[in-house]
Amino acid sequence: MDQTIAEMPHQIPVQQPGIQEPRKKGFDLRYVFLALIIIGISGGLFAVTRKPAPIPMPTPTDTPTPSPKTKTVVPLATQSAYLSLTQSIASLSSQIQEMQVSDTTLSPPTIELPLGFPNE
Amino acid sequence: MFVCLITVSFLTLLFPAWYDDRMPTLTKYILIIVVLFLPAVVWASSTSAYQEYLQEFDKYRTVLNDFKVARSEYLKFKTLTSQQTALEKTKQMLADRSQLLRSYLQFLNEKLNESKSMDPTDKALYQTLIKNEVTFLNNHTALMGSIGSIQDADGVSKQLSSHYTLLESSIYQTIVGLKFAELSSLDTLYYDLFTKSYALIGENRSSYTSEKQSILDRWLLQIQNKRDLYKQKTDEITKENATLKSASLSEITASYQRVLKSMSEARQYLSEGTSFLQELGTSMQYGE
Repeated sequence: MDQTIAEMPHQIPVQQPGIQEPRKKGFDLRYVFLALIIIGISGGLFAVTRKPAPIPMPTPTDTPTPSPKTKTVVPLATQSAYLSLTQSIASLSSQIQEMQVSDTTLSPPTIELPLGFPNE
Repeated sequence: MFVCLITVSFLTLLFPAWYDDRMPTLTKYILIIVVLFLPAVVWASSTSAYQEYLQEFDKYRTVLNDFKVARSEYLKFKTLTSQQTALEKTKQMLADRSQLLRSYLQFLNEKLNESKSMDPTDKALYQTLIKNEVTFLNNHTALMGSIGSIQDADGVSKQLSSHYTLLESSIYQTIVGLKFAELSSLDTLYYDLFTKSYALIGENRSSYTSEKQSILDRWLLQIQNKRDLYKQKTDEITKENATLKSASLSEITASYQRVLKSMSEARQYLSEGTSFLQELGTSMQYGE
C-alpha cells in the first residue's frame, strides 16, 4: 500500500475527446455606432433637402365695410381764390421750414485779442 | 456793363458796316442780356464775399500759428533774432486780423444788400454801422506801418481790443436785424393768408352747416392766437436787442443768445400757425 511517490504512475491529464461548442460572441457595438452615424447623416440630409412646409396663408375674406360718408364739397373749393390760397399756405410753410434762425455762416470770426507779451 | 462795352467795341472794329445796320437791335439784345444776368451777379456777390471771408480766415489761422511760435521762441530765448522774428510775425498777424474782420463786415454788408425783406431805413442804419466799423479798421491797419517794436505792436493791438465791444455789438445787431427782417416778412405773409382765409369763409358762410361754421370760427381764433404769441416773442426780441448795445462783451454774447432763442420760438409759433392754416384750408372745401 505504501507507495512512494516515485512508484506512483505518472498521471497525465488526458484531454477527453468531445464536440467543442462554438464560443458565443457578444453583439458588436461598432455596428450600433455605425448605424447611428448613418441614421444621423441621412436625417441631416433629409432635413436640409426637405422643402419647408408652406405656411398657410390667410385667405382674404370679404368683410363688409361701411361705405365712406361722402362729404359735400362747397363751390368755394373750385374757385381760383381758394386754390391760390392753399398754394400760398403751402409755400409759406416751406419758407418757414427753410428759415434758419441760427445761421452759422453769419457767426463772427473768433480772433485773438491780447498779444500775450509781458509788459517790458 | 464792362462786358457790354468790350462786345460793342469788338463788333465795331471787326464788322463796321454790318454793325451800323444792326446796331439798334444789337444794343437791345445786349441790354436784355445784362438785365437777365443782373440778378445772378447780385446773388453771387454775397457768395463770393463769403468765399473771400473764408479764405481770409484760413490765412489768419496760419499767420496766427506762426505768430504763436515766434512769440514763444522770443519769450524763451530773448535773443535779438527771436525778437525781430516775433515783431515781424506780430505785425503780419495784426494786419491779417484786421483784414479778416473787414472781409467779414463786407460779407455782412452784401447780405444786407441782398435782403429783400428788410426795411430800407433799417438797412441804411445797419450799413452805416458797418461802414463806421470798416473806417475804424482802415485807420487801425494804417497804424501798422508805424510799428517799430513789440511794445508798439501791443499798443496798436490794444486799440482794437478796447474798440472790440462796439464792433461785436454792431455785428450782432446786424445779424439780428437780418434774421428779424426775415421773420417779419414771413409774419406779414402769414397774416395776409389768415385774413384771406377769414374773408373767404365769411363770403361762403351759407355753404357751411352751422356746426361747421362754429368749428371754422374756433380754428380761425386759434390761428390768430398763434400770431399773438408770435407778437409777444417779437416784443421780447426788440427789448433784448437794446441790451446788445451793452458795455460788456459777455453781456452782449449772452443777450445775443437770448435773442436767438426768442427768434427760434417766434418761428415755431409761425410754423404751428401755418400748419393750422393748412388744416383750415383743407376743411374749408367741405360744407359739413
